[in-house]
Amino acid sequence: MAKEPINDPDRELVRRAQAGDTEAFDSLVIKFSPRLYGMVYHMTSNRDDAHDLLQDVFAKAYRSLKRFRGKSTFYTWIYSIATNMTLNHLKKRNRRAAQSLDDVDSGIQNDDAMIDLRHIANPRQQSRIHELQKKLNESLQALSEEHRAVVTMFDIQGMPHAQISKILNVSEGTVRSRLYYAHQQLQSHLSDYL
Amino acid sequence: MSPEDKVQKLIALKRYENPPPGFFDDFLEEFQQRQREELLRKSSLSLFGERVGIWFKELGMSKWLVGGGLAYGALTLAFLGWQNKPVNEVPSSKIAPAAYQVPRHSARPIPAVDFENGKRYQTSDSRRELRREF
Repeated sequence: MAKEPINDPDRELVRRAQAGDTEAFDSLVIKFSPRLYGMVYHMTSNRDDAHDLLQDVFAKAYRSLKRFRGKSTFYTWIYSIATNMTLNHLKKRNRRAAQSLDDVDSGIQNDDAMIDLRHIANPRQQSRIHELQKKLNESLQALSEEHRAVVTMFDIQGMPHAQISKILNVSEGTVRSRLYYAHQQLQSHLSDYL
Repeated sequence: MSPEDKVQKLIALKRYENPPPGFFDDFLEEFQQRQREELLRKSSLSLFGERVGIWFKELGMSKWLVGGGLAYGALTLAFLGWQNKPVNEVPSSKIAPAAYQVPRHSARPIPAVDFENGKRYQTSDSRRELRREF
């Protein structure tokens, strides 16, 4: 029985990029860098690492583009590259030494909802928001890389279980059990805020 | 709301963390610059190696056949090379017969014997020899 062709909204851009159209690949970079940056940043909790890793991810994707056969969507394919490279990076980083995390991230200031909240909030509440943000980063970093990956994809990026299982190449059951275990751990870390 | 739901809500706050404004514009520019530099830096040899690697991976299942064929060829060549290698070959200069010379001091004249008269003509050396013999 023939497999149903995957409906990939980026098929045309990918085809052009494979044919050597650099502008088409630039369009893919523009389209996917915010989402991929989110994943890499939440996994590493470090802006510089996220930036460098993302550059490497797109460079690798560009080199391997001819090998992309369309068995999955381009998004799933490049997300898998980003996830694998990030996990490898984290393993190397853990071997080197415990790395100091970014101080309270200033990125939160760029979000409209957060800006509103910061205007309304009094200094005491603002300091509590900063504190919460720091605590969230620390709690995420306390998880293993595999657990952090599913939390990042599911809770932060809102990805469905099926897509996460494709990206990580594990069963949906494994994704669910990792999520459950990660949530248990996070509950104990964030008990002051629950 | 269950504690798990509360945790999920808290963690979801992280999706509001964004990089500074203009980050992604600079990012693309940097990526393009990096691609150009990489192309210049890469030697033609490494590009060739990468192309061969990609071609090999594109072969799909037949790559095992090609890989097996290459391995078989390499083994055959190695075996043939090993078979044709002369065993313990010694350079011809070293197998020339060694010249044997009797040291001058050990060469002694053979005593001459006059068989008709039964008389030996002895040299001083042969005399000593004869004394030892008889």
